[in-house]
Amino acid sequence: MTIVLAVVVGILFACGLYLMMRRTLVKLLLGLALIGNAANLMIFVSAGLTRGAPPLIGAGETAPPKTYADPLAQALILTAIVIGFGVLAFTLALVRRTYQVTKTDDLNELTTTDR
Amino acid sequence: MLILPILIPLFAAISLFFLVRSRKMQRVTSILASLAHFGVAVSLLVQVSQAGAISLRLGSWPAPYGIAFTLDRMGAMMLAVGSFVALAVITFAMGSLDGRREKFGYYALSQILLMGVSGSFITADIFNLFVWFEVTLIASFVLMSLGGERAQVEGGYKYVALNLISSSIFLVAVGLLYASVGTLNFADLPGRIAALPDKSFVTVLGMLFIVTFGIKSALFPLFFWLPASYHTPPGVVSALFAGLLTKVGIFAMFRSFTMVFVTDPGLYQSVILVLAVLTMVFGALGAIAQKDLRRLLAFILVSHVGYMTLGLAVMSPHSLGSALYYMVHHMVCMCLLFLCAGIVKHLTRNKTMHELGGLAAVRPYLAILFVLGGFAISGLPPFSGFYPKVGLFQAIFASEAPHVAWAVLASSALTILAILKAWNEVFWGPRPKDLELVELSPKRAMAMYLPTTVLAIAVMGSGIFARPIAAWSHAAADQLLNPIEYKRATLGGVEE
Repeated sequence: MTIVLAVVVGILFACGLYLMMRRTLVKLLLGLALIGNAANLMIFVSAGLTRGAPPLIGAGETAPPKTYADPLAQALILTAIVIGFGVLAFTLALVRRTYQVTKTDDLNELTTTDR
Repeated sequence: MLILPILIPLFAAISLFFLVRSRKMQRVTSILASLAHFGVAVSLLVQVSQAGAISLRLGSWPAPYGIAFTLDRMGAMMLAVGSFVALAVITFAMGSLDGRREKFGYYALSQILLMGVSGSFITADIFNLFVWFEVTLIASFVLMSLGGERAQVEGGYKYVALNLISSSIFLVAVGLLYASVGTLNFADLPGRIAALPDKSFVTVLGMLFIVTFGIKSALFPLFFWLPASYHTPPGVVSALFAGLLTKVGIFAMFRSFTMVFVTDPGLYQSVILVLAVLTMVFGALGAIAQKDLRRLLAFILVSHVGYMTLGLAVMSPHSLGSALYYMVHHMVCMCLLFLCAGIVKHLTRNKTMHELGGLAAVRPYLAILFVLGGFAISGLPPFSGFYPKVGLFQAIFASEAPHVAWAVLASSALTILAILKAWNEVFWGPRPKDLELVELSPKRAMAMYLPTTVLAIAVMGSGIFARPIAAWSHAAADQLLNPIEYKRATLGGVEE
């Protein structure tokens, strides 16, 4: 399972970067979304996958069992997903506004401020 | 007490969103909040000077399990100066900002930005640092594109895209770090890393962190988003960014490469050294070629990021101390220059430098303020840039790579040239016939000149009374290199 997810992370990163190399703004946005998801999934995998072992302390015990799924990594992803979602929503609004103002989504034509 | 620098801007921002209808109430609230923030920052500075480092564990969770905030000397210094700069910029906004931007949440967003920056200076947890970075970023994204002019959205999407990539890399690096050592607490990390049998993976992670913080702080191959975007929003916004934003990246780099990533110092040092030298030279070369005043200043800003990272690369107590001093100087001085550029933009209705000239004859006071900033950023005595630059020189000569001093000299000379060019084209010479200056109402002029003057006095004062600041910076550098107090404050009485 870990290997499958690792490959998925790789594919997501590759697709994200490929999309970011394209010239349209919308593809740039999609690329950013893919890269963000790839990063989140990577944290999920990096903490190790433990099946069916919730981090719960049984009645009468003082410590969790020897093997348990690490909850912290999941808490980290949860935060990262929320942040990523908010930022992506903003980027979407920015892309829309950019198109409204400039009437183009070709990145090569959005270089007036670089001159 | 330690939570106040975060809570004050947070509550200010929330109430500002409710006060969106009343411009007057917004102004009063944001000034009061910024004053309170500055007061708290100063009192924390005093507290840290007595205790060394102070810490707060949220919800009383024992560190390293809970989220901890720790303020050491470096953090306290940056917090106080950052708060001072923010106060100046927010005062300036009252005179210079147009009503629409004021109404659509400029003040609330700048409070959120201040919250994010304060959080990054205080936090003792690397994931928490990521969260504060994102808070800062989202506020700065909106500030950057607030108004939605063509130049703003064009600069804005570059800024957004590059910073989102850097956030993703940061997230990946944090995740892998957690996977390999099982902690994210700054005080806990060094011990855990030292206990690892094979540290080569941590070296790779360190490189990822160099890339992340390199994008945030605008290091050499990664800085192009900055001059593409910093000159597009109104003057107050770019001054706020120039004062606060890149410094957060440098701060994070100082924190992590003195305390956490110390496994392979030679490699990190040489990588950072090369990047710093290239940043200095390319930034300064870029500055000379610019047609727009604020673009020129943005390139100077980039070039001087190189000095601070050079201090980190040399990694002696003296070089770190000088770099910290330089950071303080840079925050105040860049903010001053960008505010001057904002006034120029306001007076002349946004013209390029070629179309300007002779402002010194009609607005001599503004010219004096600009010259003070220009002298300081070039490192002339007795202004604030002089002392840390000399310190950096001494540290470089004492280090293993003394020839780097040539790069510092070259980029200093190029900075002076760029400032001279700006001065010549904007303030000196005959005034073009078609150049009509906008008359400012006394109230607006007051709101714009007062904070700029205060910053100029700070730039002068911190150059003349350099001793206490230098002493504080060097103490902060010592604390970074021997983080015993930091660890004791953060981890408290937890048994290992």
